Amino acid sequence: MTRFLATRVAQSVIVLALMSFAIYALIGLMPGDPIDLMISADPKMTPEDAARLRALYGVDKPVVERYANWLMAALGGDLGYSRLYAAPVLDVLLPALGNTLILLGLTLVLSLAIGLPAGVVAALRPYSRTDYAINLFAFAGISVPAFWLGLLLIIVFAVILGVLPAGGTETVGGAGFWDQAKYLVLPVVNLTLASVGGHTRYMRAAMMETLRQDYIRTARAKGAGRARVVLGHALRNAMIPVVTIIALQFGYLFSGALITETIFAYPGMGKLIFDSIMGNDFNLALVALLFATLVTLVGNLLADVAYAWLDPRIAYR
Amino acid sequence: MEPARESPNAPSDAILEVRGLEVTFATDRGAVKAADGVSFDLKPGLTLGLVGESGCGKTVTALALLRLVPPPGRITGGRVLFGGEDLLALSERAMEDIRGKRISMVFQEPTTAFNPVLTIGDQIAEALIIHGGAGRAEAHAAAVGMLDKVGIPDPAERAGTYPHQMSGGMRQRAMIAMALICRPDILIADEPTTALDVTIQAQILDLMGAMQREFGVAILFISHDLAVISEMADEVMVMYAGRVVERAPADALLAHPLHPYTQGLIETLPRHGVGRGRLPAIPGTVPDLGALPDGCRFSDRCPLADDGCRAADPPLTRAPGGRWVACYKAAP
Ligand SMILES: Nc1ncnc2c1ncn2[C@@H]1O[C@H](COP(=O)(O)OP(=O)(O)OP(=O)(O)O)[C@@H](O)[C@H]1O
Ligand code: SF4
Ligand SMILES: [Mg+2]
Repeated sequence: MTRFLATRVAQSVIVLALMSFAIYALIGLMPGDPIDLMISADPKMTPEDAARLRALYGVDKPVVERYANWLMAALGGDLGYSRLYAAPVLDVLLPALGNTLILLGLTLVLSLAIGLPAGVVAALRPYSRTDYAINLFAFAGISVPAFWLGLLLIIVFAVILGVLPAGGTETVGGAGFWDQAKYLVLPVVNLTLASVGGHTRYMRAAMMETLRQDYIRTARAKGAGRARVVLGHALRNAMIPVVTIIALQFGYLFSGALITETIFAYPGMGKLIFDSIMGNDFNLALVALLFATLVTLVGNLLADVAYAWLDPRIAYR
Repeated sequence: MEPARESPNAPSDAILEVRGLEVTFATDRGAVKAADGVSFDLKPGLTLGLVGESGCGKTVTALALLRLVPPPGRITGGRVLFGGEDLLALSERAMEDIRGKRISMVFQEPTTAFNPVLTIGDQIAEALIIHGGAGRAEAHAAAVGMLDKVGIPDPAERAGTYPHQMSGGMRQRAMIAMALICRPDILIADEPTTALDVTIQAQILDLMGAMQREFGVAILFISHDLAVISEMADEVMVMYAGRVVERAPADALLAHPLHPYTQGLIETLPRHGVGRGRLPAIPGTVPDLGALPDGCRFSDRCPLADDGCRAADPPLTRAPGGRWVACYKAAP
């Protein structure tokens, strides 16, 4: 297990390093560079001045050399300065990352807590009325566009009913846990509705497949009752493929958060990445995208650990 | 011939009496009866062999005894009398108390029949926990003891391993341990050696015989291989396309098969001393249950078939020597 973990961590670090270069190179391909921004801010600047500034900031160097410089600084703890927010990148990024992790964490917990039991219940009586009802909701959740649903939630709960805030994280001056929690409700509900349908469907399919296996018949032949068969024998086996899919979806959930955060003016990573790219804030965009990658990689790593824990056949590969 | 084998229908000494068992599968092309009027008795400490080609309804019959026929199959008729009760009339809850405790089952594929994510020891102990109300430690100790009994070396250590860490033969031994740990009255073994290679096969058969002598369990031994059946069984029942076509004491059946299908099966056996291999004795294939020939189900493959055979299905009738056969031409 330790060796398995070490291998997977090493793999993740390599992926992260490759991604950092890819993102760096891609951002380099974006039209404009920091000097262009200075030019537009100062119309009196001559082309010679611009060239001198390019040499000064090192923007004229080849991308590999620039990347190497950035990497050395980054490894030394210097992730640069955000142009847009006039603050060190990490100071801008960490609160946004915290916000997003709260949003994603709550969404994941909630959609698993609803989706997995719903999938199991549907699988226990396939093609029954209960199954059809659960499937209907699952497909509705999968099919409805998240942004549309978000707008609908705002219209109903913030505009018409006026019971929940339409966006932001807290009331000005009115701090406190419950005040902040109120602001989380709609974004979390929106993202949960968008992902719970998928979880239900995966769980249902995996459970139905598992219940067909020989060892389920063996358990029943032993005298195991329904609860013991489902919880003691089937669930753990059915979770094996589900865990993988959930992990693969983690990155997808992250980008889904981007839309939700934009709709609800929620200051998380999604909104930060969007703003930093639109505002040509290269340092911030680069590090924010890297953190997004990191979160996805950590999600996958956790899934691998869960996978190895669930399935003794792959624990020591 | 022992008198005990003379009258397989003597009601007093049977532990399980199956009468007119019928299992129907709802298929796209209508309902088919995978078991059609199957009747037999199991006697304490004796083995009934059930033989027939693939698809003739052996597994379906076995699963019906435990009421584990998978959908779209359903038990649509008959009685399974066990200790004066009809198992088919019991509640599902009451049936759970019978499964694994009074009647247990060993399956063909030891590879897929064990849960891959639970240890062998836990899976064996589970039966005791379900039925005996045993504590974990107690059940686990009993599981280790049972693994020892079925000849698994280092049983204490083996109990902690997962199914994939064992060989097929070891898994089948563990499966037998699991089936016997509650000391059942009846053991159903559905092709327990078919997935194993020949030497292991012989060891498992020996083990089952030894276990039967030790625990006095009645065995329903299923195989498509008459050679294996002849080693194990006291009495043999031959099935064809969902029907019992012949039932007789084992030696009598092997020495003088009455039904043409049984004769065909016996001719496929390799013979001692003659040096011949297996003969492809029975031409044709088992008919599709949805498209059975008229009259006798064997009539399209039977060398003796005539118009009378094709007019009506022959009923299972008594023959001398405590035998039963379903064939017009075999009647005495
Ligand atoms: N799931 C199913 N759906 C439809 N029909 C089925 C199903 N399972 C079994 N049957 C029917 O029941 C018949 C008997 O099947 P069964 O598994 O009992 O055969 P068997 O004698 O055990 O053969 P084998 O030697 O291959 O194990 C089949 O020929 C098929 O027509
Ligand atoms: S009844 Fe006729 S067809 Fe059927 S087995 Fe006997 S001889 Fe053959
Ligand atoms: Mg079978």
